[in-house]
Amino acid sequence: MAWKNRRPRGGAAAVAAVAVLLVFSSAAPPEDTVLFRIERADLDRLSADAAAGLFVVQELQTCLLASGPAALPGELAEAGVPAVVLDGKAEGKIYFLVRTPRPEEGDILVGLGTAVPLEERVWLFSPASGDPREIIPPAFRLKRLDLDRSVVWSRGAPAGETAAGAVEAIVPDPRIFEWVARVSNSRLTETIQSLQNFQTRYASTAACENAGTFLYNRFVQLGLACEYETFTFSWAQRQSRNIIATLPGKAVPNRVVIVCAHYDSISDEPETLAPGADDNASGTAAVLEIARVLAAAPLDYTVKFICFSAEEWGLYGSSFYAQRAKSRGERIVGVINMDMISYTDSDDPLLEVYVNPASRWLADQYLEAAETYAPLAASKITDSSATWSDHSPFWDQGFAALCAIEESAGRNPYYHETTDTLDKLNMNYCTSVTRASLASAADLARPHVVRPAPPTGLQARSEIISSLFAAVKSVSLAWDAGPASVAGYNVYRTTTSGGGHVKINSRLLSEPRFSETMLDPATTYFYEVTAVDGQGLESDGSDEVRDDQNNDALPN
Amino acid sequence: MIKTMTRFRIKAGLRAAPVFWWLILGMGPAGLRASTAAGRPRAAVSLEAGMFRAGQAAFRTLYGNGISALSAHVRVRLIDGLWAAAGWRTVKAGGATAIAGPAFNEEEYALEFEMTSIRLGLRYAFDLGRIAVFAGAGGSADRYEERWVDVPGLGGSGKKAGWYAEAGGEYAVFRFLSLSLRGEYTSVPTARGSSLEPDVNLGGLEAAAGLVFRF
Repeated sequence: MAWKNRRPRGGAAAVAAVAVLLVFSSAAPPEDTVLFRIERADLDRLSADAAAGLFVVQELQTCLLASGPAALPGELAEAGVPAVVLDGKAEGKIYFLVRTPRPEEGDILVGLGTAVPLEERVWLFSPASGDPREIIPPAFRLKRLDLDRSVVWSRGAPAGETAAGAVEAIVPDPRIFEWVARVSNSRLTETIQSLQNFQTRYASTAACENAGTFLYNRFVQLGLACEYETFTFSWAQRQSRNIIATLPGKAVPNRVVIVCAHYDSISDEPETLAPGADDNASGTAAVLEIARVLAAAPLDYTVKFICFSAEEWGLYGSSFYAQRAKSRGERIVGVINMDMISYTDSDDPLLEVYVNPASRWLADQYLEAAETYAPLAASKITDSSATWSDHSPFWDQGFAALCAIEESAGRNPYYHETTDTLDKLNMNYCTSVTRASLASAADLARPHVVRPAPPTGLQARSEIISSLFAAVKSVSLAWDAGPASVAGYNVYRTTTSGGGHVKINSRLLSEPRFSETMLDPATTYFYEVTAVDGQGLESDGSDEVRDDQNNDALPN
Repeated sequence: MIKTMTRFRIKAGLRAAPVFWWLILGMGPAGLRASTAAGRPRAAVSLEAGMFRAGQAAFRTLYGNGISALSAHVRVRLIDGLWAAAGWRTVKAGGATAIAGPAFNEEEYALEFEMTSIRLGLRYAFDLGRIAVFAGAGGSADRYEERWVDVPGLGGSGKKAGWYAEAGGEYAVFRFLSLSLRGEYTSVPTARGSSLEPDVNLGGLEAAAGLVFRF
């Protein structure tokens, strides 16, 4: 059971040594760095503190890539957690995660640099020379790894996942039905054609930058505040721009829902012809269309419509944005990334919704919103190794994000070809996916109504109740009582600060206090409370508190 | 829960039984035969009750400062003054959880703890007439179990090796019967722990008194 105390098998000395090394390795990027791999199945043998101290540079479905001092892999092995060293001297090197089109095609990478297979279609790659995008075939998907930054990863049961399901049933809002109905097949088609007309949108080419200007102008025409976000990437210090349009929230503008897609493209003639109709004019057109429909919509939360660039080079644009969003404390509720949403070779196409464990609730919400407002066949796929699009950098920063992608993506014969053009697309399918994404975004951002004010004065205390061999955590919350119009309160909990909150009370609380016990003592929990009025309208969440936030402040 | 506890005791008893009966049936008669031949006790069986004080404060916080312990040992004299010893010991206690760190509600759950040990060791005794003083040491195979009485599944159990050292004296009331007073130190590192004590050692000090039957 998760809360049971677990210790490595290697004895106290090994545990202490690992802990010390991990503390040093997590405090700052190590001087003498090795890059190593740990199987996720072995992580149970690592104490929670030691696991939290790992400097993880990439989370995958079956393993973690981590870096640390040269002695760390040996110490981990002594503690019962085998660590396979992938590079004994990794500092200063450039690494990419490469997803191959087919399992057997990974061998192509071997001749181009240092290549290590990690999973069936996932390789770790460091180029011998040159920029990987310029030496690796276009069909291979890239993600640049940042060895100086530790990513957020999920060790155990994901936040927000409960036996009953993480997302409550959506109460249909007639306004969302109306908005969904306004999504236009012809406008989507026109936008894809316009983007295709740039001939190529290979990041940093003049045509790509022109496409960025085109998108910027479209957002401005919709009356949205829009900005360029310029970043550099690749060996040659190329530049490109993310296009960011903002629809401010009416009630809680500091909470942000992101609807995004990459607008750059690639082919085997990238400088001159890369129409990228499916990949990813289709997703970009969906972002523009959703922005058009929602531009005047009263929503509680801010919605950002972002068109990323340099995705094909290694997710540079989205990485740049996600890192800056984390740094400035942007409260991102969820990210809906659309990448290739219009090609199908099926009469009954299926949309795949990829999430990591911490974002499962978001996929549930997406599917629920789609079912309610814009039915289409879709399936949730939880796969931490799905690092091949712009949602992945948001996972790395601990944000909930999903990628909506056509089931046939792997079978699209025009993928990353000069023949990826509008005439190959199924625009009814594109319209359906756009509608589902709009419904999800609008529901996430909440159509504005006058709601009760969020509770104030939330305080939390926790204590660890322990015996010799087991311990549990008990948490008590208290907050200021709301006005008479408040009928009760709900309490939400998460293990990832800032997102993924799940309601934990089964019935509305009549008093402004709550306590729970039998929690994992090694986990830090974060709480918010909401107020609900007599009509069932729920307030926004209160300020979030950590479970032990007021342990010192309140009298015993 | 009662069933679980009973099953544990029965299992522990069954596992201890072969050793115990081998000692009684094997070593006992050998000692008797030896004593007959030499005219001096060559074997002894002791039954003792004692109070155990755990070495770690966390253990004492949970289960109190004094815990009852029962033990039985069989000893065979190897050479003058030197005895080989084999024994069985059990420690059992009830207690309550404690708060690790800041406390406010002081929520509490009842606990049960039991440890059973099989021991092998050596003892050296100085015979001073009716009184003998002795010191010894040995190893132990220990099986422990802690349970949260009202929370099924919480607690911990395991098997670990430990050691003990002892010293004490015996007063011969009759030729075949002595009273014993003995102190011992035990160490049973578990390499496990919790928020209260990350590295639990189930050892401590024990004072025991009992009867020794000499053959």
